[in-house]
Amino acid sequence: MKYMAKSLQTWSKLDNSAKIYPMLVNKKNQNIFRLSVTLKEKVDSQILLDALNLTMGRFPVYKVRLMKGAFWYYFDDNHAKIKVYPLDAMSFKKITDKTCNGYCFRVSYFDKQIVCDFFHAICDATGAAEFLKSLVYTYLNLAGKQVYSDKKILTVGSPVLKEELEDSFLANYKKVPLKQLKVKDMQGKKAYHINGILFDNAGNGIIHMYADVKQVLDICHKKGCTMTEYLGALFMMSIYDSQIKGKIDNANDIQLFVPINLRKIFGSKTLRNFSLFSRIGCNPYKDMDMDNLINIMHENLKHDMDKEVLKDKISTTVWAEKFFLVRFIPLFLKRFFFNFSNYFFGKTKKTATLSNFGVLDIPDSMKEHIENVNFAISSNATTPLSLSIISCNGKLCITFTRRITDTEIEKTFADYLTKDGVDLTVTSNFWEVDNAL
Amino acid sequence: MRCKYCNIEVGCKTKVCPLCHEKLVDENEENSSLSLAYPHKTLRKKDKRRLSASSIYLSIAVSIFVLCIPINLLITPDIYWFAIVGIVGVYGFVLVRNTILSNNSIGIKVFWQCVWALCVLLVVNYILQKQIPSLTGAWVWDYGLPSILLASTLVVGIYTAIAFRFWNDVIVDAICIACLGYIPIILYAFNVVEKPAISITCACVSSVIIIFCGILGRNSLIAEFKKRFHV
Repeated sequence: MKYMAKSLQTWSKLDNSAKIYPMLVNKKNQNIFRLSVTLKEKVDSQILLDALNLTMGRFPVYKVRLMKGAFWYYFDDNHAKIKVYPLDAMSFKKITDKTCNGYCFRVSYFDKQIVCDFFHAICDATGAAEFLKSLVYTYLNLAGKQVYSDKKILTVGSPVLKEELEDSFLANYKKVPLKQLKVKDMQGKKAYHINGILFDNAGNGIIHMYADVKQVLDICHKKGCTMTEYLGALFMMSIYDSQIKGKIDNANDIQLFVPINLRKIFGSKTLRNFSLFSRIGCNPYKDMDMDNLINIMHENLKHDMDKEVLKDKISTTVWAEKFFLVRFIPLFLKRFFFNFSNYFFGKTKKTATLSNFGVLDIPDSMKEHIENVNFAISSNATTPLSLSIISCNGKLCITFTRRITDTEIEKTFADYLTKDGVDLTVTSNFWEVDNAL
Repeated sequence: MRCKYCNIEVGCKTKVCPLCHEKLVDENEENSSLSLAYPHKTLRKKDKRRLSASSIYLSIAVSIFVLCIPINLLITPDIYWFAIVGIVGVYGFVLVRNTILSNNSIGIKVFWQCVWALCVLLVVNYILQKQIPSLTGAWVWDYGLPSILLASTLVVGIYTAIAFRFWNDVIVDAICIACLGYIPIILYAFNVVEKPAISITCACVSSVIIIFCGILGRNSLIAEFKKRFHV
């Protein structure tokens, strides 16, 4: 095993997909995702801070500050004091240099919850989950609980592997001729945009739906599909029923962005970003049948998770980064071009994001201290609804994050699930109402 | 606690259903045992609107400027010195907002100070030339610009020497600002500057700083250039 020498970690380049995120940050938007754990006891902020300080030593990859270079952003070592914050009612509050001491993530606490918000530039959900698992494990240890890592946790004191810090996009990049690049495949066509009244303040409405994993899996088995395919099809159906059916005659295709975790496919251990998107579309006037939608989800995911297809996609994205004209354009111009193209082309091709984290694997000894686990991704004005899914300890958590006041899509989604026989427990941050308490 | 309309269990403390927002009828002790899923927005502390230093400065500066206009026109109607007050006010605003209150590095702060100070001099020169036609603009290039750059180079040089613990953070800034110190001597070569005394001093100070930084902080300098200019 290759261990990382401490002196090597002084600054680092952003990985291939991370390079885009800082360029898209503006006053209202920042790509943030949230992983949180609800414990069975109230969280002690002092113990949490101690646990965080210990955990940071094991994750030098997150002990960084985002800096502006002449041509690209880069990560510099951050020696500033790290803090834990009481959870703000405004979810996905921007992670800035001032508010988080330069760190690209924020650890908060509320009642029994430990909440980690990550700026996507630093890592994706898989990397963040390793951090959260380690943090909670250390917290429980410091709180005097008997928990064991069972080789499922990157414990404090265990060696930092070089593979954890690698840019896996670069590691799996192979130079291909210009003609073989899959630029057209990665473009896609115009998508339907979810309508609704945007919140007049910042923040996101969050709705969690908890269900028994077994109940949902039984339905999936009956339908002969995976959970992502089933929930994705339900999501598209709900969007159609609530927004298009009988209301709009010429809506564009409903297009979901589904992140694919590339670690298992390429055998990577990186704690940075290593995922690509699959774009799954359906015609709202031809395809709106549950079995048909499941089939569309299945076919698209099967195609997009093929290793050769993914290799080509990686080659295309890395080629774009390595193209000499792109490399030597000053950062401020890159920012301008990215924002310009994203404003006019990028967001018009996405209806919503559906991110299925999968199972958060934690040791049995930790399970008895954990009530549930949540995963949520931020939404923005142009893509005002996102769906994220995670399961842990036999409990499935489906989270809707939205920037619009209307909860019709979530309601329709819950209707479908309950009609299929799933018992749902729903919680919310009630960002859309004042009289919830 | 269930919502009879949505057929779901509500898992947090609330009076309304999270999905349909209908009032939940079963408000008994079952509800009180539930806790909030998130801090509710009505419990959120409102951001206190604090009077910022820059807004205090801005209101004072604008008031003075507005006051100066009638005074100027009444007392000395031939010389529009209120415009100079205006541009100095703008410079002061930049000083407060982008230098004193900003988190930018020393190099960026000093660079923008140089730019704005030069703008002030050019505007002052322009206004004075309108009033006094015999006045040439040579003083800006002979004394003004070299003095600004000399002061900037000295400030950054001294800061670099003091902040040797953060050498990595300041050394590139020091070199860049010191390089700007050669501008007056280049302008002298092109006959823009006629009296070169301060320009030569400025170039010498810049050279000293570059040589010292180059010798003492060679490794830091190379490392910093590599990361800031990586492609």
